[in-house]
Amino acid sequence: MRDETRLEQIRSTLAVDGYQLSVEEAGSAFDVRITAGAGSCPDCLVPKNMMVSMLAPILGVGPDGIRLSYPSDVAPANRT
Amino acid sequence: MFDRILDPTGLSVRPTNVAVAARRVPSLAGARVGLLNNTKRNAAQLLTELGDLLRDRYGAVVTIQRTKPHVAFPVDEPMLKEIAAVSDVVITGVGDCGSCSASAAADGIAFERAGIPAAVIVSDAFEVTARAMAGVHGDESFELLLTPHPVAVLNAEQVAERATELVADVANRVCELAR
Repeated sequence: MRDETRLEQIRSTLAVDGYQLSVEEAGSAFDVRITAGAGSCPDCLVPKNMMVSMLAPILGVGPDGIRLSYPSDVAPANRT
Repeated sequence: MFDRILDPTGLSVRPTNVAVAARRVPSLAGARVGLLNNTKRNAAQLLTELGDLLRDRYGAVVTIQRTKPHVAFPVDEPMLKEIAAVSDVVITGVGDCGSCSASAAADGIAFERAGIPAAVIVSDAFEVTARAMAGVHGDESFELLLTPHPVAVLNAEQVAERATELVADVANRVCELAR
């Protein structure tokens, strides 16, 4: 079960660096998209595998249950 | 051809499931202090100010100051060993963004596991990220030293004020006697 409080904390933290977080359930997995707003800090996003590790306990799934998309990605992809 | 693949989390080279705290130094008098700057704006000045305050108030001596090559990645093994070899305690930071707060937490845990008490300075807006990273490294309760966000926009005088506000917490974090 996903922890909405901690998810909101992560969302707020990302917003400080200029990023938006969206999470969509897709069956037993999650599509997580992080997009960059104007003036976002290019070096401030953690590496993708680190982000997946942080999100997994919050979303209540294993790392394989998260499909994470970063602003630098052309299309959503599995974790790297 | 790849010589090796680097894991930016540092998880591939360190144990991750056990919280390990280094033994605190009994006193800061004569203690050797290492400073690890993560390249964020004002980090170097804040750490330098803290080193000066630890010298003036507690009798510590700064023996080494190093800058990480990249803000988003944990300290590499050679730099960790270089600092640990000449330090009794380490101060690192400033976690003033998502990636740097996460890597600062990882750095602090790495130094603790190397036997060096570490004070990790993180701005309060990024406590969640730093704590999440500490959890990934098996130490969710790792003690962070929080300072109000942001740090990067402060002027020199304000940075000095932050250092003054933080120095007792830094001493408490790394020194048995100061606790």
